[in-house]
Amino acid sequence: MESIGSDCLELKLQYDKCFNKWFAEKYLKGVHQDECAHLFKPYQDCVKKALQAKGLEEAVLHKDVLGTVNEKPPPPKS
Amino acid sequence: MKIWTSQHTFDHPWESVVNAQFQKYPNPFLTDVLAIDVVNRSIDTNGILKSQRILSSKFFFTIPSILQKIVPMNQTVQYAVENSEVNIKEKTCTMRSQNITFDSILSMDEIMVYSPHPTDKSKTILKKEITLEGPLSSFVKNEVTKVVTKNTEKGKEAMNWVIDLNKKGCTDLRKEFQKRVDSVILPCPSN
Repeated sequence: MESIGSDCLELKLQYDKCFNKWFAEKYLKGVHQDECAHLFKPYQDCVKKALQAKGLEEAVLHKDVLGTVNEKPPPPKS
Repeated sequence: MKIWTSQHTFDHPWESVVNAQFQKYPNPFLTDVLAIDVVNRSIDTNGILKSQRILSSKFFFTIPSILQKIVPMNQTVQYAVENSEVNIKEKTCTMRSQNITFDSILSMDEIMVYSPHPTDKSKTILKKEITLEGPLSSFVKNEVTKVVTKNTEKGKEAMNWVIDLNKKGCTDLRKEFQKRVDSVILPCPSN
């Protein structure tokens, strides 16, 4: 699987490997302590740069709500 | 306007299904997805895991041909944002996906909720809802519904593929698939 930034791929693969293992073996078994933060930060920085370069940063920011009061209201009934 | 509501039961416990949801790509049933990246991720004090991912795909919206005639869509990659929350205490996993490409003319909002079957913990229920908004939503409703019907079936097969491989401990097979996908889609851009 690719990354949105071609130079982020190596960071992504390292992070995904750590996250998938942690998620399956720790998180889903009730251990919440994040063990992959050290790999996430450099990967996240790289992805954010790629989003900026593609002009997608703003659009992503606007889709950051999940079931909150800031959620887009339903369209008016026609 | 709500265009889709469905419910599906997976014959696997909630943990296996949610684990597969996070490892869904690459997947031979969902080859339109080219890249997936985590933009934000956090765990709150209640142990709720919140993630925001961006999906780059060939056709998140498989654009109906009738729409292609009206709107010039010469982009080959389309983007969608997925916000998810896993609540390990309540055993719920909610994933909301929204397109960001062309969202001013047609915005598709998909919400999927995974929860354990109320009486049989060896099973998991997925509830899915899709709404369409924007000036073209009424016009393309039927076309989009057809695509969603097809993609919902593919999505179930994709999930079962991951769950089965995980169950058998077939990580090598997944790695092999990954290698083959990479060899096809990576055009060696640095040279």
